[in-house]
Amino acid sequence: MIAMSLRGVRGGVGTSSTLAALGYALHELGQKVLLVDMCPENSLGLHFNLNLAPREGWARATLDQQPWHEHAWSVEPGLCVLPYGQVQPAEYTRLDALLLEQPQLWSQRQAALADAFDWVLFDLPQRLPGHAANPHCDIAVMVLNADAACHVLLQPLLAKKPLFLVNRFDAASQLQRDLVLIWQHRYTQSLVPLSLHADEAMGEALARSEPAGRYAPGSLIAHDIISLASWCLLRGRRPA
Amino acid sequence: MISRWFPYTRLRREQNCTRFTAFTMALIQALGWVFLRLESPNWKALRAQQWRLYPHLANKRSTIGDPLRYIVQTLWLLVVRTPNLDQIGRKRTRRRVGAYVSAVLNIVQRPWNLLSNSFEHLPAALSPQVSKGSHWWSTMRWPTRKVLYIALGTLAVALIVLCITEPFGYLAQLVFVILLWVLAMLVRRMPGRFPTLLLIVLSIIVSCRYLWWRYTSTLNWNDNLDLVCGLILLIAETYSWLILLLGYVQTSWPLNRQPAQLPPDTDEWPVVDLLIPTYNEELSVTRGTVYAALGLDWPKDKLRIHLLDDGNRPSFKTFAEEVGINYIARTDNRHAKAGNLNHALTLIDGDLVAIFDCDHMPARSFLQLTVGWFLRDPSLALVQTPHHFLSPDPFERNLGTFRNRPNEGELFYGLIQDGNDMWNAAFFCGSCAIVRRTAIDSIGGFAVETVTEDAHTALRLHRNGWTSAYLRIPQAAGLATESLSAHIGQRIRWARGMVQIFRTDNPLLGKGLTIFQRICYTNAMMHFLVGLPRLVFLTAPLAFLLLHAYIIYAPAVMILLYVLPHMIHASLTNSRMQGAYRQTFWGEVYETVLAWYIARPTTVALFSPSRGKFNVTAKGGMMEENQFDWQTAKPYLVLSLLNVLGLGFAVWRLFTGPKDEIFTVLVSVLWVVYNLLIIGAAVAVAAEVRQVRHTHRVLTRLPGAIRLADGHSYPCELVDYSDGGVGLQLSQPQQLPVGTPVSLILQRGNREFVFTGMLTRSHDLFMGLSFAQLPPEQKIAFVQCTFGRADAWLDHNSGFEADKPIQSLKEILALGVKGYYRLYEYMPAWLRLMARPFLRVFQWLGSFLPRMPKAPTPLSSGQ
Repeated sequence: MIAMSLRGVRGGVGTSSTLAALGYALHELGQKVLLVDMCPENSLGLHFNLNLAPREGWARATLDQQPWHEHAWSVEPGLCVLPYGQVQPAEYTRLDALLLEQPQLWSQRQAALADAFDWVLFDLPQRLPGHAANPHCDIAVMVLNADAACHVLLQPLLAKKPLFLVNRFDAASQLQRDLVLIWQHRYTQSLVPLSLHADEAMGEALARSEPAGRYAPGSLIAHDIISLASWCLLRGRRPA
Repeated sequence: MISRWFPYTRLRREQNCTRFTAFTMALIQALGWVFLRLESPNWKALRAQQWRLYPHLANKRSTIGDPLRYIVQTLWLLVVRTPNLDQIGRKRTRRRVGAYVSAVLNIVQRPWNLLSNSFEHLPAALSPQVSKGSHWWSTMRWPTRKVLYIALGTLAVALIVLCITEPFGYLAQLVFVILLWVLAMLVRRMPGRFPTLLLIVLSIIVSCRYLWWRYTSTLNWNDNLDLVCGLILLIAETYSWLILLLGYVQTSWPLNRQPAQLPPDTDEWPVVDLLIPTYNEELSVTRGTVYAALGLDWPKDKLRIHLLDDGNRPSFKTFAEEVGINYIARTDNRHAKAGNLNHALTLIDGDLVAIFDCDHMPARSFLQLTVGWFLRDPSLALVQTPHHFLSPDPFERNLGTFRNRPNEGELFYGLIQDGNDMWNAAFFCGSCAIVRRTAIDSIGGFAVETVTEDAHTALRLHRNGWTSAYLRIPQAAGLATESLSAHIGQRIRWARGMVQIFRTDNPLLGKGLTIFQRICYTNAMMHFLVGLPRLVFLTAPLAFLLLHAYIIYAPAVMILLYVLPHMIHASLTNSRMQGAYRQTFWGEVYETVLAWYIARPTTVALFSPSRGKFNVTAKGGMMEENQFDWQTAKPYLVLSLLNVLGLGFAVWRLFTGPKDEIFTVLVSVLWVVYNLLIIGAAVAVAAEVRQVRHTHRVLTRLPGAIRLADGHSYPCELVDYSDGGVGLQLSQPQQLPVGTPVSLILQRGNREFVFTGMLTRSHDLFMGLSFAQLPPEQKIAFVQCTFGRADAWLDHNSGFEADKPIQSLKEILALGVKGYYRLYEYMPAWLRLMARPFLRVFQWLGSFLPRMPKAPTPLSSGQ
């Protein structure tokens, strides 16, 4: 089983949509996939036509000391979504502290999932260090857009040698082209060697509560995501 | 029922046959039903396939000739092996007959196959012994080795001289040529270059023997007419023999040079001046070249682009300023292109000078691939790359061979230059090349004395001890000449220029050249003298048929025994050496088309080299409709009329001449028919196919994507491009009205570019975009993503078919027939009216010829 996480460099770069589309694409490629929502916004399920913010979820269950794994939804055979659950701000701060206290919590859970899934994808939140640090991932990707804010925000992250994935790339924009050129030049090792293009279909997919690959299989973004999934397969099989 | 057994009324009513025809056909059918048991299953199976097996009789009105057609076709079907015929009940007989035939063939074929297979594996099987032998040879003491060399050489020369000069009778000559031919056929199967050298040796022996025989025993010294005609032919043959031999030397060992690595530090890279000379070409043609030059991968501060405008046109000046390149014009235009380049040399100071004609778009990798050699070899003066054409030349367009046969230039740029490079004799071709500034200064600039300044400049460089290199990697593409007359005009200029150099600065004389350089240059120049000899070959048999001159004073059988091996060996060897670059017999067509036109200027230049002027080759034009270039074809029409006249004389001689001449007449007729068909192929080229596009589309397969105005994007494949638009193939159909703005996303390396165009056509999965209004920087990017890609022209030969001499001969002959048919199509109405009865007769005769049956359909052969 391969654990992978996506996390935005800042909010609103399209992390959840990408994660949902990637999970769907991996599933299309014959993988058994579990998507785990690590964000208190609890909105990942929306991409799979689940209710907005279901009450039940792994965070709720952990706080209530219930079995956490009972709240996953099976979207299709081999494609499951585990929501966060409804949690008050005070509660998720407490949970974050708990996660910091027990850094092995999700590792143990991942070990338990190993037989059932080929891939577990985590949608990580911006803040809440306990949430972000707890899952131990083989592939940890930071999502960013080609804009000045992301360029600034990624600088402090470079020390950790993360992987960066450019989302919503629009080659018509001189600024975006130049930024990507700079990144390709400076951070060759860190940059995922393909960019996801800006495509209206991505936004429409969420409006239809579907992952992009299912809503518009012929679109450029679906094509890009399939390429990303193939890259993940190659990367995941590679001994670290 | 009666209509089935005796279909008289049906034939009368449905096919409107005459009474006699209908009666005869019906009678035959009735007899068939009575005597042949046509209702039996075997006949039924055959009848079900009738129209497949007799395709020319399907959907045809029954006529009285049909029984004969059936008989001819049936015999054909019995003799010729066709796929799936075995299913039709005749299996057993076929098998029995086939078994006999193959048993007889096996007696010869099995040992032959064994032998030729063992030859094929010989190099691999022999290699340990060979390496042992060469080791033994190299450890031998030098004096011993020298003695052995001399002994072996003397023996070989003696044997060769014996083979060439020994006079043989019929039988001895027959045995000799068959032995050599068998040897050649065996050697041909072996891979590698040494077998090629062996083939060359065999071919040289046979050809020398032929020429020796011609000189010693085929001239009739007793008759003036015979002697004059015979000598003319002999001189022409000697010329061909010389060209053949020089060609063998020139291309025996192509170098296949690889690019040299550049140093990693770009500070060490030299400064390059890129010159784009232009005189009267259109700005639209020049733009693409400038854009491509701007996209070359080279440090920006080390690449200077200069537009050398000899036409002094303000529009060019404005354009140069717009894109930020240097504009150089001069007040006069003395010495044409060479003068233009020399003028520019006074204003620039880079280390290297790259030269691109204004219609040759360089690929971005041009400098990176070529400059390395200048750094590695300080005496290198020149690196030349091939001239590749993205549009069809007149031959390719009019004969429909674009992208599936090597074109006329392919032989030169694919093989000859590579062969020259082996002898350090690769020469400058005026464009797509890069020269060292100090070298060009040392010979006083580009040569201005002749109309082919390029070859002359290279000759001077070589004379002064500089070396040259040839990289056989297409790194630029340009437009081919657009009409046959322009093409011929260009070749006339080359021919005249090369002969001028031959006279004024003969490579055989003067200092500074190696023997092989002299051979390569001489061959390149002599090659253009082909006009007169070719005309001699095209008219030679007429000397006998019309004037009754014995041009080859020997028995016809003996002539065949000598001339056929000479031709067969030359074809076999050349097919092996040149097959990938020029298919057998195509050279004949190219030469024939040019022969008349270069004959006069080269002869004039040979005697008075200072005459003649520079003419610029027109390119990038259009041809509104199909037309026949009567002006160009005129000499060939005269030649073909002469040959037809010769055929008439042949018939007359056949019936009235002496009996012992019949075979000679027949051989002459064969020669005349061959000439007629070759001339026909030349005539076919003159039928110009229309060319309506302003811009030429280059076929490709590149990934890309489109983006619509509403923000939706879709992946696509770029299937063709030109400088004004692209053709795309989508994975799902888009319903978009023509005129919609659509953006195309293309990649170059790992960078992406977006070009906004307009939808011009949309059909199912295909989409056409036009980019009429791209801003200049976008145009540069577009050229870089398409024409300027480093790999853009690498696979241009992927569609070429392998050379098969016999197949190639058939094609050329078929082309000849097609030429005459095209001629008929373009004739004025009154002439066509006169020709029609003859054509009818031919068509009627042709309708009796057997055809290949159509491929079986599953329905009819499903038993």
